[in-house]
Amino acid sequence: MRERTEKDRAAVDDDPILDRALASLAHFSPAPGFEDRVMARVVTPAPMWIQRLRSRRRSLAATGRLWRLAAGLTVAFTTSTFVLIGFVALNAAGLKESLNGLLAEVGLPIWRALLGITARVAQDAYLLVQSVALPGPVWAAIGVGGSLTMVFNVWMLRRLIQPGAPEMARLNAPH
Amino acid sequence: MTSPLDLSTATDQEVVLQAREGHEAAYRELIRRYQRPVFSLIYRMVRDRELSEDLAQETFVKVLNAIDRYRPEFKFSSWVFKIANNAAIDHLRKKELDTLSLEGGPDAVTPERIEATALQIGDSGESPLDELEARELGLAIERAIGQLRPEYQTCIILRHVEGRPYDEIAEILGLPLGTVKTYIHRARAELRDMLDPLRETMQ
Repeated sequence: MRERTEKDRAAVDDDPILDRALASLAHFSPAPGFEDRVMARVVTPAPMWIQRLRSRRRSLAATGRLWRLAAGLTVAFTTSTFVLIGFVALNAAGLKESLNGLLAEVGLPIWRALLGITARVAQDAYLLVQSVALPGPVWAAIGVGGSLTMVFNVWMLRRLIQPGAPEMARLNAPH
Repeated sequence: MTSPLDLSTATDQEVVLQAREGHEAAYRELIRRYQRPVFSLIYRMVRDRELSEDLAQETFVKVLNAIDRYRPEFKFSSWVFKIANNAAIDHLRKKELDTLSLEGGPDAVTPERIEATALQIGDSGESPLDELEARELGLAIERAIGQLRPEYQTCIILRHVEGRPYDEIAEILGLPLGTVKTYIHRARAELRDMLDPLRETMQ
């Protein structure tokens, strides 16, 4: 029985007519224009450099509104600077003339007044400091302390405005 | 920017990478490589030229629109054939046809439709007598394949027309290797029986 099964198996696996018939099986081709018909329905991705730009833009957008605000302000500042420079360059002669007039009539008196006020304030401050009569090292300590306080304030502000900052989360947490 | 690649000599994986970078030529190359095998597989299963074109188109559109999701650790051909086979099987299931017509496609209900959907066997370029014999044999095997169960058909076509190895057929069909070998053996046995009437005239 087993011998017969193996014989049958061999007959199926080594049948020359079946092999010839199977070898005669050919490929069929679709109608001409198949490639174009497929391509008309395929959405090809944008070239790599555009994909990179898009992904960069996406990652920038993901970093938060603050960055977008900063980018917007930078663009606005740069644009307005260029516009201003252009305007000045185009109207240099007229501007110079009217500025000279303005400076003589308004600018100089204001400048003199500002100088007078500054000199008086500085003199008063100096006299005040002299009247307090603190030793030099104390003044130095006040100066260093003030600078450090300023640096600390900037650092804290930076932490607060970062998206997801723990300090901000604490501030926004429901009580 | 990637360097230009000779697509005709590149591997499937290389062509896919180019396609992912947005090169239309790479898409076309993939279609050119697989349009005949995919169309043949579907045509032999559904036996309707128009329908096969539609299903082959669907296959390519599905494959190419999802090219970003292709995982290079698998053979590209396996992926394409898997989608093509699923498209054909889904269609056959939808039509609830478990047997295939001998002469025409499974959808053929009128004599004109049967005529239109019958497989066309090409010229082999042999002597008239040999050609007649080859033609008869070709028609007989095509008819016999049409009578097989769809999973046997896929196995036989992938093995004997496309020359795919057993393990790739197993990957395409999502079946164990042993099952694929059994299917192919059983399919061959059925085909052998169906070719018996020709045997006497051939030998």
